[in-house]
Amino acid sequence: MEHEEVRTFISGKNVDLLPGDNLEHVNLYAKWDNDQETRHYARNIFPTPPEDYKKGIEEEKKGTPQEMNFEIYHKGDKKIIGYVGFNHINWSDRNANIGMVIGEPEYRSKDLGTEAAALIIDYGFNELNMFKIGCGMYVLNTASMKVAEKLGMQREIVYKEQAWVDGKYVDEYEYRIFLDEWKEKRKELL
Amino acid sequence: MNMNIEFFLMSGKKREKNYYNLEVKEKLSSEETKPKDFIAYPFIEGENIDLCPTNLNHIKLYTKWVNDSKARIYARNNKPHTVEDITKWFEPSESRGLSSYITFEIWHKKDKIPIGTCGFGRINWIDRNANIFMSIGVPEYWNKNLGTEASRLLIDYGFKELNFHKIYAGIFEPNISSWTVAEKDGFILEGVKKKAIFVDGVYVDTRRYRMLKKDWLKNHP
Repeated sequence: MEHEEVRTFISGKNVDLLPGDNLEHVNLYAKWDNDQETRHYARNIFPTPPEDYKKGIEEEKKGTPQEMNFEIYHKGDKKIIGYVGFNHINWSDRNANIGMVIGEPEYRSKDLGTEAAALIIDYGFNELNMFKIGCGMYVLNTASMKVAEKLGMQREIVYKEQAWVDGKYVDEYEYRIFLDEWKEKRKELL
Repeated sequence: MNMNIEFFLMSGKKREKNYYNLEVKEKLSSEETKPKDFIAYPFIEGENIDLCPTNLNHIKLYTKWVNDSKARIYARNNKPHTVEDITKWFEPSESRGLSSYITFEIWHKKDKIPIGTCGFGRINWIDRNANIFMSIGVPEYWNKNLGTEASRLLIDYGFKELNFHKIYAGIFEPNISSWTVAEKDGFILEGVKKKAIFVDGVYVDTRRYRMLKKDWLKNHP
């Protein structure tokens, strides 16, 4: 894929963020979200056929979006390796949660997720005028926890026995960062 | 349903006093919001209140509560809602999936009128948890322990009939009377979301409370 075709929206050092919800890539999204290992951490417990993404994308959207998705594009390898986005954007409270998947296993544990998340956090604060950004994961998802900590996020709440995973109830964590905290942290990360 | 699912049992006393006036009473008794014959179909019976299915004939009343300038502050309804919007919330859904919310009308037994709504939102049938919500729409019925009674009926229903593992509630910091009641009811403070919502011109914290079935069972063997 030529760089020109990829419609870079936010450019980073190793990864770019491209507009998400690409109709031509629904098979790729379905591959990642249904993958047994990936979905275990992302907690996708129902199968999702590619048509579901298609339907979601084709739905007429009006007004300011309440969620937003980007594809994570590996610049060196010219490859789409996952997605990152804001879920549940609340425009009056000015906060949102980040969701992210590095769908291609060979690109995990290389700080690419941290970079992608840093780019979207910066976008959220600098362009979307957010005040607080958070993310959540269940207790066994240590990779996501590490990313949150590298981003300078603080653990805000432990939801006791909130999720049923691998045959038992486990805790969920919620992390967050405020705009003023990010102003310091971004100097290290971007 | 888009309806707010913050949990609140009653309002602060300060607001109540300002609100209690003739104008409101007139509005309450108008044809629009008080049809002559309210009919209740109790689903869960309590001492002073019953929990009934929501009733499409009472939509105008629900709409009034949702838009009420005093009550809506605590319910986090910061946009106007039309009768048509509210009708959509309560109309039977086309979907065959199990609903992620259950709403009841709170029926005052002695006065024979609906006084608010309550129920469970964000029901997760796999993780078996849900967010409890409560809204007494008629200020005259605030601070009379009716919210407490409704919440006890709901908790019983959640654990005994729906087989929940956990019930939780989000209450914002300035709504002291609500989280005091939640604590009295045995909810445990799980954490505080700092500056999570914008109310009355400032960012305020949200307190998150939980009740696990195993903790509830200790007091309800």
